[in-house]
Amino acid sequence: MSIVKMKKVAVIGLDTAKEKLISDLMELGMVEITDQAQKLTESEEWRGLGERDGDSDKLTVMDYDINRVAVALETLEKFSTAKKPLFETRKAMKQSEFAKTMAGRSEIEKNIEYVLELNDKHHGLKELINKKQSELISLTPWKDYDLPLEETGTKNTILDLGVVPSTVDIPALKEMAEDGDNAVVLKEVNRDRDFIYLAAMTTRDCEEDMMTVLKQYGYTPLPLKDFIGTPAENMQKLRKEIEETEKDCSQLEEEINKADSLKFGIQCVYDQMCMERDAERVKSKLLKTKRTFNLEGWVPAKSMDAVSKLLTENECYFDFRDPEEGEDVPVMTQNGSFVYPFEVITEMYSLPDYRGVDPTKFFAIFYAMFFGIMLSDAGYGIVIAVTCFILLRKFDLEGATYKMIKMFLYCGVSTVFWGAMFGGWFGDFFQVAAKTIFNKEINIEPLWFNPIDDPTRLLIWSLVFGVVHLFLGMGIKAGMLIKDGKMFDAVCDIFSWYMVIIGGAMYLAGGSISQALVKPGMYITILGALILLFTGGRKNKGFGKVTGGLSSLYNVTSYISDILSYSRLLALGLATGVIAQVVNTMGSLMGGGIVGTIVLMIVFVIGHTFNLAINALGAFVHSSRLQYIEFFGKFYEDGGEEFRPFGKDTKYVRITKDSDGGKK
Amino acid sequence: MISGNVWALLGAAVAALAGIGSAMGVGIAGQAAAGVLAEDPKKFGKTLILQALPGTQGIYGLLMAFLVFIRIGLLGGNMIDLTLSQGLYIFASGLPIGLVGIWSGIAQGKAAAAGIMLLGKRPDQMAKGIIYAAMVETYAIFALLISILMLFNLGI
Repeated sequence: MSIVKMKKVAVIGLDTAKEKLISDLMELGMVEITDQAQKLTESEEWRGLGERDGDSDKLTVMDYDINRVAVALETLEKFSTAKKPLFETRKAMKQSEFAKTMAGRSEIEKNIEYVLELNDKHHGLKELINKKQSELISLTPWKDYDLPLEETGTKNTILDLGVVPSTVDIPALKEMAEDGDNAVVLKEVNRDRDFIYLAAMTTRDCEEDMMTVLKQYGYTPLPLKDFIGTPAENMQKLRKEIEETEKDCSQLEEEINKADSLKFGIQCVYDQMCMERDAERVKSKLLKTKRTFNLEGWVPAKSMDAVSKLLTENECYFDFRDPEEGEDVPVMTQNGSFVYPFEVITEMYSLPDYRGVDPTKFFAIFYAMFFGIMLSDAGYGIVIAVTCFILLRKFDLEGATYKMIKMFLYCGVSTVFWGAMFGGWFGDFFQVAAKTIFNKEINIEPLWFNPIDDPTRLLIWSLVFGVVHLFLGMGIKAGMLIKDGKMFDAVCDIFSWYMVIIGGAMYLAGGSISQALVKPGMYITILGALILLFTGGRKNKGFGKVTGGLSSLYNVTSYISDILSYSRLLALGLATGVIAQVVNTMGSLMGGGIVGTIVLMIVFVIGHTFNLAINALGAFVHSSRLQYIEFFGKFYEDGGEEFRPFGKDTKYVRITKDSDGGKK
Repeated sequence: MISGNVWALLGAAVAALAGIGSAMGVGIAGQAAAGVLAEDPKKFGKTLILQALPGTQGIYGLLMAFLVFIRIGLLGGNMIDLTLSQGLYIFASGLPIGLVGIWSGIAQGKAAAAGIMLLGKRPDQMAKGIIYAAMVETYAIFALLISILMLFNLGI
């Protein structure tokens, strides 16, 4: 049993029991509450009976509050100098402990306000720094101008500061502005790629004339009126102010960092608020009348008793039923402790259909095996397995991350096995090291054979493993057909191919084992092919009956390409082995002695890390591909939606029951 | 007259040309990765995985070149004397991975770049992006296999 049977539960209860029931269901975490709003519009019977429950205004307010807490947490996160762990895990906490923390909620809420205040202050200071910095930049071109900026002229003269585009010819401009008898001084203070910075002086009488001419040439007066003193003085002042503000800023950051100890309480409140929000949100999936409510949801069949008990306690009327034909049933898979980490591979593809088959238990062992053959180095296997083991020990991982790490632990063990079979321990490191450093010849014999010496042998074995894998996939399809009472289809579409492939293998390769296999192999192939030829078109009409047979026989190309695809087991396995050897050879080039040994060690660490990383990625990707394309292609029906029970969907703390001692 | 050994080394050189494909593929994927990273720097690790995928062709080429070196004893310092036809055999064995590696590396780089874009928009679908890119690699693996089988079954 790998896809859990589901029941649909329909509940009607009194409005007074609703809050209690929702919080109980959340505690239980075993019911996926389905949305019923459609029923009101689509079903004649239900129309007008009730209305949709839920309060969207209240939800908006709750979301807003949660966002504020999230901002506070982000602020703490940003300036915390504490070292971040490799994996963010939820802290396990007993219900009673959590309740105790929640008792101090008003205190924590004050802390949240405090952090938000610090955050606002920090933003304010940052803005101030930005403003001053841009003022500084605007003053920089004027740094050689030695008059106070507030100076705009004397009794009879005026002084104006501004810019013209750098293409303007200043002496010509001056002549134009003077217009024969006006006294104009244009002083070029600075120039850069775009502008010329000018100080323009003239008598009060000529101001208008000069300005008109200047403006024709693109003169723009600069708004530096707020400054008092020379630019150099102002710049110095600004720099000092910026420095001071930055000091304040880092002081504030330090203060926020000190507030890091408040984080856990805030996280608890965040989770509590999220749970309250979820409890409110789920109401929108309910229907209500004046005094009653109606709730529907999916329950795993094995949890029916627990749910019934809870519903009875809350004095609800309820009814369980089986899923109807055509109904979208959520999928929950359940597998044994070895198999279930591999669910992550299935989930990456897509969950099985509720009425289909969960493939995980079939491919788990193959996945680990293929991974092992493709990585094929016992040393690398040990590294992977030990790393994963430590991670599992050290971190309280959950969900997909936990499954993934656990899966790699198994894959690592498999790699150790296959590495030992093929005689790869960090390539031939120990042999090379013994020879270079101690000048001794040692030999590590592979338990089976070394693929570098005889690749053809491993190629044949790879294809054999592939055929077994494919046959299993086809067998599952046959099993599904037989279960549906389509024995004839199973024979025509699956067993005929078994005959063609086994017979073909006997005919082509059996000769090397015993000549007696060749002839029967040929007959088996022909018989299988005949079945395909005559039955392949049985579902077609008219002329299609003939072409259907031919086209189903033509499928032989797709089977051949499927089988050949498994040759990657050899190719990737060889790649790891040879590159590891190359690394070792390069490391040994400096010869023995202390320097040689150090070089060997450095090359060992860098080279093998690289080889392990790139080939572990390859093994992971291609082992998945063999499942997805070759294996799943034979039978898999996907498209299920994941079962998401309504429960405590927390981010930071995992609340456990007081009774079960923190187990998952 | 060009000797067999020259042809054998040419074969190793041609095999190593697969690195061209990888270099271009990794480059293409890297550009896409940088684009995605501009939006969300936290995706660095994930984009790096996808960017590494087209890198394998170069490794296969390197692998093949080294296998040729080992076969003809270049690394040990005493190269065996090959006849002209033996040399040409080895040259031929370098061709599949060398040529297929170039084009499959580029094509895989494009698929990986698309996978990175997918990662940018739908991070949960990343595994599928990886698989799409890995589909291309199949042909590089086949080419490597042919190269290896040719080399190992020459009887040198």
